[in-house]
Amino acid sequence: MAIELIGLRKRFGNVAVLENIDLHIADGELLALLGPSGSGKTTLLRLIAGLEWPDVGDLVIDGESQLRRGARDRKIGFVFQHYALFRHMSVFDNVAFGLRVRPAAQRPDRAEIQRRVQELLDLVQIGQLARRYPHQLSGGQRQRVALARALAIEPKVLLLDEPFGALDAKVRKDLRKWLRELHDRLRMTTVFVTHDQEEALELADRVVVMGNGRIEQIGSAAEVYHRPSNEFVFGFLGQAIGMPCRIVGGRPEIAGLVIVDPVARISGHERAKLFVRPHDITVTWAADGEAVVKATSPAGPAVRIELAVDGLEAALEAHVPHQVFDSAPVRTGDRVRVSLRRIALFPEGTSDEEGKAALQPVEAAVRLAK
Amino acid sequence: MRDPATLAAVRLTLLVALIVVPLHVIFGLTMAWAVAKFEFRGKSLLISIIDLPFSVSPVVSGLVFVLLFGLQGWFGAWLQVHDIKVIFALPGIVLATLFVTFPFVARELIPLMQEQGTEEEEAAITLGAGFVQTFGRVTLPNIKWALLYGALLCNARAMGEFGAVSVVSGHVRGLTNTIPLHVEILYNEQLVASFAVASLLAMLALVTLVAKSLLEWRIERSRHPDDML
Repeated sequence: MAIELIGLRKRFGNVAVLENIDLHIADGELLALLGPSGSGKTTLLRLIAGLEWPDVGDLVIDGESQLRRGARDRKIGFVFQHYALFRHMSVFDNVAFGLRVRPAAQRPDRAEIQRRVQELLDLVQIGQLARRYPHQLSGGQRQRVALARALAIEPKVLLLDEPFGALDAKVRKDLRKWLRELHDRLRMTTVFVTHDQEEALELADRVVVMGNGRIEQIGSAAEVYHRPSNEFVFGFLGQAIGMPCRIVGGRPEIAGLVIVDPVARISGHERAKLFVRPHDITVTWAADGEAVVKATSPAGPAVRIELAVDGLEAALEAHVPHQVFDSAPVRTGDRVRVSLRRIALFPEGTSDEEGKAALQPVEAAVRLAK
Repeated sequence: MRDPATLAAVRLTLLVALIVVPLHVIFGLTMAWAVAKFEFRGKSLLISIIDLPFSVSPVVSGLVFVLLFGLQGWFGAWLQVHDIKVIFALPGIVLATLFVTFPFVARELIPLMQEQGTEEEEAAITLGAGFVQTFGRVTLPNIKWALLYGALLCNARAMGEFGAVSVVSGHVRGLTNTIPLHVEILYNEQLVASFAVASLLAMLALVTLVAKSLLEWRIERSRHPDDML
């Protein structure tokens, strides 16, 4: 079922948790709400489920406004972050709960419940655990029970709050893959909340990046990663170094160093912020280079090189692949030339819309020059 | 032991406990539910009120009831006109006992319910359960041992309360004497009989103690089931 969020707003006291949320979620889509804690993503999920109420706006599922319905009548499957399994019930009773609490007229008989629950447990691959209690299960198994329990009510929509947050790395990866397969099989509209960018980018059809109660960007994983629409998104998805720069004659300039090479000319702005990811910085030895190597650290997947660029207060950190570093090593104290393979420029003093238009990450390599 | 006054005292004590404990199970559940699962104005005030009997001497609370319902009290004249006896009668004893046993059930439940949070209830609602189903199938089973424990402590205190009841009861032998009051009277008259009746209370204490340890064990087990496997 398609979900339509129209101008949703929510405050807790004086704190605005959600501001003007407009979002269309297509039927059968697997959508990630990605954001740091406090960005409002969980509140948005709870709002869809009917566990919170918006102050303004409308929520439409399958063409019908849901705001006059409580959580009980929405038929939305919700998987809680800590699973919220009924601790005094067996796995079987947990999954059967949604069927047993139905009004007598719609309640399936015992044999039917037995059959349906077993089917669901088999679907989530824990058929042999029906008689266990939640405290006898591992985290991954609990997650599967929670999912089976939510699916038992034949929901129109499935919502998952930080579905892998409480699991260790190995289980998390397996379960992520498995959930993707399950979604491809069931084709149910699914929304999940996460603060883990990798999880969102890998699992979801589309990613909604949230910050401070607003939607910052909506797009495919590749889009939000490679074409972040603003500083926030760039900074949140992966490591980023931000530097204030001035625009002189249409070209950005950092601390007196002009960024040379093809950069789209920027007009109408005097100041901008330049962002670059550490692995997009290359360093080449040069006696007249504009930077000095302060330190190198070869431990880890890449060599980290700390740079002091002339006239720039903040240190720059470059991540260089080991092969590259080994073939042309630099030492502490060496002068080097710095190139930025990809940058993103965000002019200051623009509205969001203007900003989005102006902010195109530069694909070509640029170099700092005196 | 066969003394009719003693038998009357036992009967009265049992009757009072029988009225007070079920009432507190209901009050305590309601208050703990409200405090633990909802946010509202005046919540801290409610918590202070729940704790009030712990900080007030029972004698003082008894005197307050006399002030309210006694002949010269605020409602005294009205009560007399309608021929309702509160002080020196069963209602007074019940009221005084209710007051001093106010915190036991709620205090036992609040921390447990706070620890358990509201997620299980929310899960039940998203699965289509109504209020009664959520309460009966999810909330209550999770707190039943703690509730019993609270009721047990409440019962022990209700049967053993001396101070507040002493003020409002009037010590009418065979009519408004509870076991503790009766023990005190007998202590001044027939020492042996007093000890005999007191041993009744001591026995109650022992039973309570055993039941309490059993319940503590159950609660511990329902909180940390893994350790017991």
